[in-house]
Amino acid sequence: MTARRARDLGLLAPAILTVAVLFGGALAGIVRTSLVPLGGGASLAAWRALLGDPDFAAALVFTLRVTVVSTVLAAIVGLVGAALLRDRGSALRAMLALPVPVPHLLVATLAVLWLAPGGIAERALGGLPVDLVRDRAGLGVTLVYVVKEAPFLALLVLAACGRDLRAREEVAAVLGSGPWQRMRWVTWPAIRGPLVIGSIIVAAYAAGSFEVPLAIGPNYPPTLATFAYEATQGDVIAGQGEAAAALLLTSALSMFLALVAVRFARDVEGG
Amino acid sequence: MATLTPTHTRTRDTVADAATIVVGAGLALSLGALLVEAFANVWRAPALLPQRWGTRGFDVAFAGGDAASALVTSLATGAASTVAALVLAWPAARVLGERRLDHPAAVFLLLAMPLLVAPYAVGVGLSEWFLRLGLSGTLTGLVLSHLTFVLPYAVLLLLSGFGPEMHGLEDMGRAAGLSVSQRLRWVTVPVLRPTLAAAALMSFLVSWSQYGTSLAIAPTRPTLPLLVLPFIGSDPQVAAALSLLFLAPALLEPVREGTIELGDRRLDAAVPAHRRRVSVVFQEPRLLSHLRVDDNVALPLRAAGAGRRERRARAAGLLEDVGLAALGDRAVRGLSGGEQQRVALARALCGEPDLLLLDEPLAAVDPHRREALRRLIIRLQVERRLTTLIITHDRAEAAELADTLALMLEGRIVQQDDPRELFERPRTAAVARFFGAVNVLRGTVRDGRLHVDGGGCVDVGGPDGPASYVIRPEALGLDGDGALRAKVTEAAYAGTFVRVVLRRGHQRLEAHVPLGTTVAVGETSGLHLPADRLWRLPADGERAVSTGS
Repeated sequence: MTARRARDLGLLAPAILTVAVLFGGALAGIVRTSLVPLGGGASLAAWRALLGDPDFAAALVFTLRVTVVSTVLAAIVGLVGAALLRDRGSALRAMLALPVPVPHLLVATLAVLWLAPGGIAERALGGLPVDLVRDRAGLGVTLVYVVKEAPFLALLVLAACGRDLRAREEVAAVLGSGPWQRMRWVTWPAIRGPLVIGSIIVAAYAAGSFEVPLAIGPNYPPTLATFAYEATQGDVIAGQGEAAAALLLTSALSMFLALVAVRFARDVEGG
Repeated sequence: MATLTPTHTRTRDTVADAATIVVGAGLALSLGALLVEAFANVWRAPALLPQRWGTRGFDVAFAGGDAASALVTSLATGAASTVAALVLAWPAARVLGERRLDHPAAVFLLLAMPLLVAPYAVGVGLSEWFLRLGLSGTLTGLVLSHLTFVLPYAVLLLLSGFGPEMHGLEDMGRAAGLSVSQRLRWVTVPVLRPTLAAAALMSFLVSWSQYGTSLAIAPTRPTLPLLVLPFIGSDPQVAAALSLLFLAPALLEPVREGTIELGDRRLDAAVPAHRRRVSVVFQEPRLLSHLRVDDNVALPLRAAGAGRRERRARAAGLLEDVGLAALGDRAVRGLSGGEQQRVALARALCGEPDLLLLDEPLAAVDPHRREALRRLIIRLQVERRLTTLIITHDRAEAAELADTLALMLEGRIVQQDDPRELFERPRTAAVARFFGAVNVLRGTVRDGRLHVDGGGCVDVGGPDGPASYVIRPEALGLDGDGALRAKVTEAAYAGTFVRVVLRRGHQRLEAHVPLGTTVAVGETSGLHLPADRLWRLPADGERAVSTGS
């Protein structure tokens, strides 16, 4: 090993070790909790209880649907927003950036203020055509994720649309590529990476988020995260194990979605 | 040069304006609603505004000290995890940003892994250990659990500041003799400040809005988000008042004029760039890094709908023309600058354009490769009989590549002619100077002799009257017996000749004399001005001389 490489590894070590210890410890802890209930020996009881629970199946389907729909919608809205604002000034971009640092819970609070029965929208319009707060389809939860995450994705895409990309598009144009061809061969390959990575983060958040479904989501079905939380509210010993198992599956779901997204991004190589 | 980017359509601008108004109105209404709710003591449906205003929401939130305590906990956790994350992220971001690793993807994946997992899952997993370590319910436990999510963001944001530009600046500081601490204080931190600020803000906000981890690690020591949630359904005024606290950190070229004509076609803004049949080679190659070399070359054919086999065959032929036949299946990243520019040239020729526009194509190429590329351009130009417009600041390059040369000064073409004319018979003193004819002699012609201002005569011929003559340095010789005399002030070896600077009063003259010529600095020497190398500027050129001198 060269001195330079050893030095680089030394510089990386503090961050990597911190993440490895904390994240690895968390994973080990949750696996242990799912297999070894408080005060008992190792067993698969928590997993059996989880997989036999009809509420879990409902939570899994509901979580998957909300995650996929809200991520796809946020990506589409973010892309359209980025396309519209690409040649606009920094003031507009700053406006677009405003929702990004705002906590999800605040957006959920606003959604309730506006959209709940008796909320501001109902007072102003005399009624809403659909229920968006505590609705079984999870429209309100999806709406909150889209409002919150679309600007985040738009900013990631705009960051990739720098002068360098403009220069490449200019070359493609003078070489005879039409607008759609430029989009497929030049623009999309440049923005695909940030968009996919951003969407993975959005999907992972939507799949594991806790506070938004609690604030605005339906009482039934729960999301996987709220299912896990509710499991700990009854029988603490059995509930902890079942909650840990559900959370492990949520994490696996997020990682699976990430892999699918990365694979998809590779497959859609322009041409 | 007018850019070939097409004008953005009015429709798109209108949609963008409308979207801006909608987003702006949405943000304003949201904040307004939050403020109204927070300061509403009584607000019953269906009234659009509260029946009674007041601070009940804040009073309830802060009663018993819960909100104040949660605020302090959130601030302390956010600040501590931000500082810790920045300290840990800095060295990692430097290594990743400078791309010193062979396989950075694995490191990225490891660092970003926590972002793929539900925060509550991490919280529940960590609580198992924190309980044993006595960290459960403590500020330290909260900071450590938040760090799991804050650290990846800090690394990802900071590494954008540690690119090659920073590396170059630090090298410059090192070369200037700055110590490590001086480089850090005077170079690294000032340049990195905006990135550092963004990373710090983002890190703080990630911690500030954590819910799941905080709930699992310290349910009895609530942070602000834990306090807000129960009120959202039960008491919206309190939720709105607490949410206002939440907001605090978050508040913290087209063708424009003139016409371009190519043959009988008029190329104005209405003709999109891709239909102009004009190929451009820019100063930098601008290759598409995700395509292999031959796919880059064949891009115009791909745009025209040609099949892969045809594209690759044509690209192979063009790559052979530019001397890169063996590199068709390579990635463009592995090519040298000169090779990349050859690929760009092949690509420009691939579409068989009506006009090839070369925008300083050799400016970014190493000097020793420039000559080979120049010869290549000339060969391709001659072989293909392709109309080529080349833009350059290099007068030797211009003279060698062009059969017609136009000099543009301050946005106007001041002379367009055969290169020899511009070099040897410039129309103005400015053109003369640009092409290196720096010696201008002013005086009056009488009986075929120029009586130079400041004394001395030279045989020139031509009509009587005030006149300005130019002579190139390589034509001006030293002759001990010359009638016109000047004092030698400098003499410097210049490789293939000796550069001699002379003075006649205030006038500066320059001569390029053969190596081995005896030159005595400080002495006065006669000048040899061959009559056939003296060029009398036209009358308007003379005015330019008198204005310019």
